[in-house]
Amino acid sequence: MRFHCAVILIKINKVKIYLLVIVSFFYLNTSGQELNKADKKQYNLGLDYFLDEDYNSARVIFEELFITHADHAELNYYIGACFLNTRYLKQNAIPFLLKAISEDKDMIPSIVHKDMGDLYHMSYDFEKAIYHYNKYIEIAPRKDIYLDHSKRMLEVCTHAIQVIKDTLDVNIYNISAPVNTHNSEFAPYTSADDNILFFTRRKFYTDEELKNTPNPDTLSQLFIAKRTATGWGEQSQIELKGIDLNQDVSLAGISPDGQFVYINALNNGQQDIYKGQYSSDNKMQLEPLPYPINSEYWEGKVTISPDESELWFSSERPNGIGGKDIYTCLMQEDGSWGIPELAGPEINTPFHEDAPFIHPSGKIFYFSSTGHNTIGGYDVFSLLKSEQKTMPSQNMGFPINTTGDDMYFALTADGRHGYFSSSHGNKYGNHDIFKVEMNLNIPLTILKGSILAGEPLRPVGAKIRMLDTKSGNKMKYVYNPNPETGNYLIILPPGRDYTMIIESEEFLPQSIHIQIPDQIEFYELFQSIKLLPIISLGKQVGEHIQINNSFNESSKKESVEKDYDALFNLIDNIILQTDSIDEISKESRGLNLNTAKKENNTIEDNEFADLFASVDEAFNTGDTSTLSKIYNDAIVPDKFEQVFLYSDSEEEKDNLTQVIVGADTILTSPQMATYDEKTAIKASHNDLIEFKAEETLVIIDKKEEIKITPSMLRRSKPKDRRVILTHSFFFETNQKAANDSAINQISEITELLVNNNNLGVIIEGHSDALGQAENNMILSKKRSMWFLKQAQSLGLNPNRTILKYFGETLSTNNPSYDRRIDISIFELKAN
Amino acid sequence: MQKKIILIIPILFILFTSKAQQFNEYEIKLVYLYQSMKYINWPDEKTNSSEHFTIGVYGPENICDLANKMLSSRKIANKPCKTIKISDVNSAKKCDAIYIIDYKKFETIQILNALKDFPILTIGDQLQDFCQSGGMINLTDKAEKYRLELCPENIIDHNLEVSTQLYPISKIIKTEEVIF
Repeated sequence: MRFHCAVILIKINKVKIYLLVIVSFFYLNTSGQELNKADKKQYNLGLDYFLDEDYNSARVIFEELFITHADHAELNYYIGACFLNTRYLKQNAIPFLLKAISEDKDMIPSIVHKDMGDLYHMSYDFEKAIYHYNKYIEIAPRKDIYLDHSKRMLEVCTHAIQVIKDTLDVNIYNISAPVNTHNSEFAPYTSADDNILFFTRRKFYTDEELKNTPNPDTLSQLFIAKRTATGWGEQSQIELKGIDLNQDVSLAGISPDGQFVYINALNNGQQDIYKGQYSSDNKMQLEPLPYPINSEYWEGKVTISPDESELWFSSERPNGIGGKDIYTCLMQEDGSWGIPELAGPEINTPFHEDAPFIHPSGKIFYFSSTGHNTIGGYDVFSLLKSEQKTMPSQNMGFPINTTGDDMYFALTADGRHGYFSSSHGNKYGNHDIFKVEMNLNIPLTILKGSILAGEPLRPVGAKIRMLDTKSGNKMKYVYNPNPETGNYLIILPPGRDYTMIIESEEFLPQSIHIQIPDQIEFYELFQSIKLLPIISLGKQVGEHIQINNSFNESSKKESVEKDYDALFNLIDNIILQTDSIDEISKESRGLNLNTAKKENNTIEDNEFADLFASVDEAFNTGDTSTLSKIYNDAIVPDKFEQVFLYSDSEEEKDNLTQVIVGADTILTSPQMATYDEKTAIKASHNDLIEFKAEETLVIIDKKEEIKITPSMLRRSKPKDRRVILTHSFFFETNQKAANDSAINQISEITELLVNNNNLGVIIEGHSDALGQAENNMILSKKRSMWFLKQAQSLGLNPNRTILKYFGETLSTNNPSYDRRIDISIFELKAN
Repeated sequence: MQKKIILIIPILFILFTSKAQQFNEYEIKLVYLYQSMKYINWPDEKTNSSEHFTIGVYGPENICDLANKMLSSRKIANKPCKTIKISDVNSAKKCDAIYIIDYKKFETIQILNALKDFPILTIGDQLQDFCQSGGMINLTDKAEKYRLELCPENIIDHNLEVSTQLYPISKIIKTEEVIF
């Protein structure tokens, strides 16, 4: 008689099933006695494979014997045990183990009931699971190590019955290739605008592949996929730097704007959280999060509030209340992180909590837990955050949660979709990424923008501080546009006024007021900011900021697909019938009696047909209101611009705006309002001068006559002028025109003047003291006139010039210096 | 007049009730551009010189591409439209019309000055003082009451003709009002 005893550890996902196999068989008697000699030989061969943990080979042999020995208790038992040792066929063990129990109750160890409980739980047959757990508790030895597990599973099954009863009516999709593959994809995180998806992938081996691969690649890799018009585009692997690449890594979270990525990695024996900024070359330098977020214990996943002022992370440090717990941490005034605090009992339990995720609204918190009323393994729980009171966490329900592990739930900013990874019901591999339609209505605004600067325009290193204008300019949000693209993504509560302080290289800080419309739904707003240097004579003399805002309702994210063809035929018919309107409206109403005829075009059947037809009709009938309506219904950004010109005067600070941001005082260029068009126009043209033809100065220079109308610029006093740029042109003796190289300089000066209507120019002519004073006076006048005429030919209106000539009256003893004109470009001071 | 009102109602109904009618800024502007050109007459020697009606775009490539997409199947002066991107005056002189986008005033004036003796329609895209600088039609900001600024005198000076049909929807700029 031979006696075999083996303890086989089987893992079903993360639920461990321990099958204590007490193999008692007798080659010549007991239960083996039903087998003939040849079958017995095969049976023993199968048993050898089984004990060598080659369950596939063992199962093949046992299943052959099963054909003729279907009632054989041990055979059923071993086939069931072989299935328990597979990765995806565990449920197949149930009928065999049941048969074994029914055929020979005494032979089967009590722990099989625990295993049956686990299998039935995984199969959503909770009543039967409860029966087997109870049976196990009844017959198992008093100190059996699985008693606590079975008692907990009785609670879990009870929860599951209730949760399943309240099954959610939601659609869950496997997001498919190219993200999901036959490998294992997990830990998905999307940016707030749902345009970037980061995820982790681990190579998946089938049982057969694993058997034939001596050194399987078990390390996970980090990937990114970007949304295209048709779904998630091709993914790219991200090369990580700053960690031990021979250790496993996992995505731990991302910042809401998708720029910063958090990684969970084992480095120098420490399982810590690292942070890196994503760059388009798909390389990422990682830095560990500082102590006390990282500690000598395990740290796992992390999430950060949109204003980056609060952070949650999972850790297994000893001061928790059991297993992995979630901690919260606040950013201090000095930018460092405070002491982590254990999150409350609404989150943490004596079981495991992990994968925290705070929604960009800051109002919904998701986490995974094996505690609370899980229906098995990790379940996803949601928690509504309220300043008034703490709400209990809610199981996200079936089918989001299953009896397996369901983790890494993240909700898109618009509340429409959630992403999570799960091992259940997928066809591509052991873990796949799933998308669930949530259709939550979340009043939240995402401001998506880009900031470009310079000539030519390029992304620029910048920092954007968002201040709540109403709450006393207390610093609230700080954002860093992507240095490679200039893109930024800002999440804002709607219905408030904000001040954007933009600090960038080579430009003055900008202070921009924006108003986020009060909305009850999710909105995406778009903004583009361009900072352009104003350069004249090789020197930056000012800056020009252009802002395009698409903040109106038409920029709501879910725009309707364009489908013009359905209306085309109807409109076309209407247009064809309106020929008589042409005759009615062809009345002479203006200066010109021209009778140019409208073209007879065949309007093509395309997506713009109805637009052409509508505008055509409005043009025909002179219907300006319809034209305005068409314009207002379109996605047309509000455009704002402001020019600020530098001055070297000591009073320059008076022209800047002082903005207090926390402990800092920032001097910005004049504030720009972008929400009230009247205000904005006023701001952008606050120095625009009205030119009134009250007096006319006529300068007669022999054959030429130039009329100069006095303007506020011309009549202003020197103390009210803010000088932007000065330059001198020098002349040869008796010459009234400078050399050819001066022409380019005049062109640059004229460009500055023409492009900025609020600028004036003083032209002062001089001569040396050689010759007669009267002739020198005429010569200095001609020199001034020469500049004026050159500038006028390039587009400068002479009304903006102050022309002076001094002859030799201000001459020095340096004739070459005296033969000159001085150009002084100025604007009027604001007050 | 009654017929006119009756006919407009269905168009307005379609326009105001259909959510499909959401276009972007330049789709709208290119339609205005096209419609404006339909009310201009070019001298015969100009229109006979090429098999296409050529619109030169001083501006971004993507808007030129959009213009080609929207206008290539349409006709002006009984010739199919062709849109090209231009960046120099010599290219502009070969066009029938030019559309200037996002240019500063100084650059615009230099372009207009270079074309002052040519029968080429000049259209600006919300350009500052465009008509006052010698331009002919300037598309206006959405907040403006009129969709166009129109300077008939500048048009006539270039040996072109404009229909008074454009006047009701335009702010007429007279050259004597040049005040900048």
